[in-house]
Amino acid sequence: MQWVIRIIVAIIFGVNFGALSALWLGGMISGSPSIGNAINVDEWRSDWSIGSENADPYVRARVARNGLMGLRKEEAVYFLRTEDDAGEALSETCTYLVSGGTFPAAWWSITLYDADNRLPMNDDARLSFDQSAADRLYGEGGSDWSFVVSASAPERLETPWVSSREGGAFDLTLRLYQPSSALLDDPGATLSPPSIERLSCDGEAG
Amino acid sequence: MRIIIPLIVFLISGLLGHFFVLGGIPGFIMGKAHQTFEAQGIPENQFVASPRQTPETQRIVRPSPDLAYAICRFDTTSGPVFIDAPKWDGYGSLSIFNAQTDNVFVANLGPDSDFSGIEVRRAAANTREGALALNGRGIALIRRLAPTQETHDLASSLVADSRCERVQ
Repeated sequence: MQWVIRIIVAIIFGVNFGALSALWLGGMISGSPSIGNAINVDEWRSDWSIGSENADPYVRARVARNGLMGLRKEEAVYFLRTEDDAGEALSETCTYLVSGGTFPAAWWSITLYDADNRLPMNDDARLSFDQSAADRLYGEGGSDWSFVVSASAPERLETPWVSSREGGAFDLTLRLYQPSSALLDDPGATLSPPSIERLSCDGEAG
Repeated sequence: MRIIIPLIVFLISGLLGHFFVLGGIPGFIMGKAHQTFEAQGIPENQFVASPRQTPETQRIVRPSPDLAYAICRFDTTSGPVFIDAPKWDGYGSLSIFNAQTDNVFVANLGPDSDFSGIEVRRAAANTREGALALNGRGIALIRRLAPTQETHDLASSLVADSRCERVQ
């Protein structure tokens, strides 16, 4: 009888442990791994198997949870960044300057999302910065652009701005639509990703 | 032996539980997405334009506020479906996702596009050249670059000329 009890307990604990570890590694539990980390260019992380039938079950589960209906790499690639250039987690309580240039793709955008993978619940209507804005503000081609990320509007109203209000511990997602084959072949050598400089945080001087 | 056999059972049970749950996550989430779209009044076999993506209107995770979306739910169980969408003067794509969230098809809708529609059929019935094999439910999603309200309204108006209909 003790044998049977031991086996039943082992099955119960085993199944529960296996299920919980699957939920964690599949991105279903808050704080668990993000969509994909196979590619890392200056801490902008991505995975070329997003959207692909060849994606491993972990990437597939994370994409379903955190990026449903993501496109496969030939059409779009997604880079996610959760920390600034100093390695500190991005936070609504800080102000950042995001700077960059051109990208090897037909069109690009950078969008801010909260920890629940949503657009932050504010009414500032400043959710993203994209190639259209770079072309308009910095000239066609947008080869040298920057914008501020902060929880309130910059003092200089003409400064391009993305609002982090209600964003908490947020991330920035760089979308590159119709990326070049050179980028897909060698992202580390081809992509010059944006920098994220922390300018100040609440409670800090200047 | 008193420890080893229960330990082996624990490990085998853990692996089975792990991969059973992991493999079920995409299908479960896609099923929930279908339910959500249905509850929001999106019928099968018809493209419906999504409102401009804002914190209040977002329906799916990580929407792009710079894009205009249109969604069609379809099911090939009772017959093939034909899907088509007009071109767009800017970035545009039509993508198809199966019940496991895989992006099984994508077409460019930009100015240089020569896309003229695609027929989607069950794998067992897919004897037609050029048709896409997809069993059961799927989602077709149109994306068009539309960073302003004006361009979003224009993109939304193209839904009337888009097709996602059962082939008779």
